[in-house]
Amino acid sequence: MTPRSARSPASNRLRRALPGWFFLIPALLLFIVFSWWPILKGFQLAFFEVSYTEDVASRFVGLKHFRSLLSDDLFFLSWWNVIYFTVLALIIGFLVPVVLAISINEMRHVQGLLRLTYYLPAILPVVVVSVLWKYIYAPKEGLLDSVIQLVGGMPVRWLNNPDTAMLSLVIMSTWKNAGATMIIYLAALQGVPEQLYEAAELDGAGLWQRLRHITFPQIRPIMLILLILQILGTMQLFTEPFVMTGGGPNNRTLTVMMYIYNAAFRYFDTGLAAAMGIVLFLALAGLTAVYFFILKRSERSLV
Amino acid sequence: MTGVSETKSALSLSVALATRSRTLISEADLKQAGGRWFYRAVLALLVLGGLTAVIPFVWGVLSALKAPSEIFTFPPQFFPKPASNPLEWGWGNYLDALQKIDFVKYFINTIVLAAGVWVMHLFPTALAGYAISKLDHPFKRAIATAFFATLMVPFTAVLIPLFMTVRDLPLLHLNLVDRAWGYFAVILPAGVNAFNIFVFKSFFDEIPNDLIDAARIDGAGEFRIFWSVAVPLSVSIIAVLSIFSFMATWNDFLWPYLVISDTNRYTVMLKLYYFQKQADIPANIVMAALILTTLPPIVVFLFFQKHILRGISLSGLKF
Repeated sequence: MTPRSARSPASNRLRRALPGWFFLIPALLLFIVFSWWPILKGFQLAFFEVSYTEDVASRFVGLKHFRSLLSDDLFFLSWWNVIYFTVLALIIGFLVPVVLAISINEMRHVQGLLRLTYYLPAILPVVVVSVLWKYIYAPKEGLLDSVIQLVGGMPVRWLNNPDTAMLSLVIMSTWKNAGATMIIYLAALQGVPEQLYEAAELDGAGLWQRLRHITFPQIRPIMLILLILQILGTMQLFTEPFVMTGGGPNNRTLTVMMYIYNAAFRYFDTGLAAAMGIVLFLALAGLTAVYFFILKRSERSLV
Repeated sequence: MTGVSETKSALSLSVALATRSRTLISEADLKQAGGRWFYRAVLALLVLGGLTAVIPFVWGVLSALKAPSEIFTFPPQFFPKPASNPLEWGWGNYLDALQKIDFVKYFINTIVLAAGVWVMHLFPTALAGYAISKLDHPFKRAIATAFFATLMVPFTAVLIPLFMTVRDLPLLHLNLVDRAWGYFAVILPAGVNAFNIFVFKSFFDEIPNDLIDAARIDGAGEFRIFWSVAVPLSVSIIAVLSIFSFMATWNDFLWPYLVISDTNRYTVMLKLYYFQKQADIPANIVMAALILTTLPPIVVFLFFQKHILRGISLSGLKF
């Protein structure tokens, strides 16, 4: 072995790593400045007194912000609201796209048109949908209340009524989001091997049995994934209540995200807002970890 | 990496959408009288449900053609007056809204912003995805893991520290929220997109290494190989991600709302938000503005329907 050839693998490796650096550096710089650094900063801010005007974390205060959250009724109310929204959205909305996808997948007529129709609300921007439904929900004279009165009911006063305000948001977001989820289920249904249905039929399995023992087990992994994605989405609810109710009436639609926003940009208490962000982060990170775990496991079962 | 085969199978599956294959119900089921009636009942229910899916939007389109007093009435009226003569409906309201909201100006703003965001959504991510998939690098695995780990961090959880970061960039101490910096406070953070890196990486994984090696032997540099071998082979995925990038910019609200302070630089959605909050704008004009701001996404959707429906199976893994 000559000295030259002993040296060359090392320099070779360096030379081969160079293009790699070149390709990675733009993304690395962006991630450092706009992702990894802010994540660390979020943890720092939560333990400091922050002066909003100077943007400096001036004084270490330990767990002070977290302690004040513990005695903050509004903080607990915002979590209660978000959990209430999430549970209600699951009860009302989780199965709708599944049922839609399974039945539309069977249609021999106007299938494309049906798919398009149910997908339409998903194309509309959130702000547009929120304003549109604010008018639909308008008390007494809005579309919904006037139809209810027409058939002899009492006006519900949807968004103005503390008992129905959150329910109104759930109905609207189900209407808006079911279509996109349905498309994902449709794609999953296309992947169910037809031999399974044929074999089941030969064994004399009826419609319900085929549905229960073939269709559902085949789309279960994707259902689980979409379940978690839906929870992750609803826990971060912001724009809809921000545009439609501003968190009212009586803070009944104040979500965690809105409260963080208020703390930071209305009360200028950045440290407190950051502490709330950490709590949200930890709650969602747990869910996200479960999500990736399932993703990984279902991947293995597919291979 | 997680989800590769998910992504791939989702892609290949949606290609299969075109051809009808055997599903839950067989043709034999449909030939029986009971099966036929069941099928018809389900179809009827689906059509009814489809009506509820479009009625709110259609109501918005029609309400924009009414006089303000006709929108909130009892009993409710679905069609503008006179219902028999659509020519006399308030079509001018749409023109009115177009002018009042200064649509063209904010449309151009949004397009400019979307172009910038598009660059950040695609270029750094494609480069990084290519490096992770095809290049030798001593810390490749660690860096890839650090990229993909950010998928675990919901955007809203870093909202406050990210806002403070763009107000005071580390080391440089620049305030990107300042109007002098235009859209940079929106555009630069858009480069943090681990999902796109992941999609590119799994797409580049499909390109045979032999092809890359052959180009190397021919003396092509790494960037040249990336640009004239990998990118042309990925046009379909670039199209999907581009459409999603545009839609995201058009619809985005919270982040632009926080960092675009210059009223002349508002996006359409920001302008719409402030417009509908004004007390002196009648409801029919607001409705017309709502419908107008929805047209670009609808047009894009109708043009790129196939791409989008295929892409949704991808974005199902996104949050």
